[in-house]
Amino acid sequence: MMMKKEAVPTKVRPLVSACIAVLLAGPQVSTATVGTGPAINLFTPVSIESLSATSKNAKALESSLESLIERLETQSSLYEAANCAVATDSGCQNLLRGMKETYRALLVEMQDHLPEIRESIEVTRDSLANQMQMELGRKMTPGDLQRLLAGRDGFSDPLHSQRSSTKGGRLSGLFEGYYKLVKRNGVGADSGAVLASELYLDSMYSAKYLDLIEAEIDSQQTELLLELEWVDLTAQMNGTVGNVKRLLWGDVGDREELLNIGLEPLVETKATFSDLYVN
Amino acid sequence: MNQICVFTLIASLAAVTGCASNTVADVSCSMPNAEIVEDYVDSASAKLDSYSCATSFDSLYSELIEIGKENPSEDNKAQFARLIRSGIDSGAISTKYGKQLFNEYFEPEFYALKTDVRSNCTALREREVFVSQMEEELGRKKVGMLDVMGDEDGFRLSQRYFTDLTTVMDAVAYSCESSLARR
Repeated sequence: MMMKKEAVPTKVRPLVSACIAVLLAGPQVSTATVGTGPAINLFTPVSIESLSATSKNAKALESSLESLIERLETQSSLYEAANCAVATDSGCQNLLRGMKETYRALLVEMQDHLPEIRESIEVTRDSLANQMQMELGRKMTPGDLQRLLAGRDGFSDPLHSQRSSTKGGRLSGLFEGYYKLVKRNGVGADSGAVLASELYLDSMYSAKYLDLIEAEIDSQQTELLLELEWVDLTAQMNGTVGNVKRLLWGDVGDREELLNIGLEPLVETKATFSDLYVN
Repeated sequence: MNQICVFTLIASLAAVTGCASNTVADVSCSMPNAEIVEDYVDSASAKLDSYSCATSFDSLYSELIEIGKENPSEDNKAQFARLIRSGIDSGAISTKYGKQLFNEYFEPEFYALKTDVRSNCTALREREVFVSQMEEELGRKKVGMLDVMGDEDGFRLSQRYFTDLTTVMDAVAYSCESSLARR
């Protein structure tokens, strides 16, 4: 029987509370109030708290799965080396039994942790969706978006170089990177918009991917219970483990670095071509 | 009989004058023969002042691009601006078209996004159209900023705007869709 866990683990609460207190006491995070431009507030305390929770939960899952996956891969290598797919001796049977136990432990571990990760990711996603829809979707035109990203009309200068640190291979690293950037005071409105967008898209795709993995785990739990064909199970097992590894530790090329070209904004005065320039 | 002769004479003169006029127009609207950007713009501007050459603006602009590619310089931006202003002043092109050309080729920001007054939730239902227009425009910016001006920083800034804008537009469009779905 699976117990539903709290969204924020007890040991993380003091940290989260402290962060929220700092955020509420200080200048609003990622709110553009520079000059005369409109104030954009994309990150709320709810999304920041869920961001922190996602990172912590993912880290906990990574730690708990690391040894299990390592053991499973070792067993799998031995299984292949001994050509157990065709052999039926007792050694192979023991190996298969061991793999089955490890795999079952892995599935149980994931079933325990994935719901709380999904919950915190969904809170992040939904909170951002609300803010983006309100602040960028309804109040702004495509031209306003561009002016915002270019740091014009009263918005702060671009701070794009900060974003590169959010792109880590691990799920926990990814969300931790976002969390650190978001909680840092003074993030410009433009980079806030791009950061919020990247985080929103990552949350959206992660939640969808988690749904798929959870469905896959549920179906394989059933197959394990029913003691279905071992060869099929081994193939499915590799697929599931591969998917989980991709989710937690990332794939080379999956999280492609954005252009990090470190350019200063153009200093050329618009006045020279003011008659031809379109704002 | 006299009337017939007078009519024939007038008709012949009209035909000859007409042909002569066309010939003159062809000659005066032929491409300026210059390999230096500034000289070419001088010559092209003079030709644009001639009413009969008004339709040749796009050809002049295209040829200036080719000459600019052979002589890349940041100063070329001012020369293109001069040609566009001449085109506008002479009535060869509209002010709006002139501004569009200038912004599409020589400004890092995207003209494609500047004229839509709808909110993003409405406008970005057609985000594929925007992205497609921006891709085409990025190609023009490559020609204008990189090939003609040699301005690598300016073009990279455009690339960064493109990447950031498409990311933010995607996210905003999804957020608007999800809001609709929740209603």
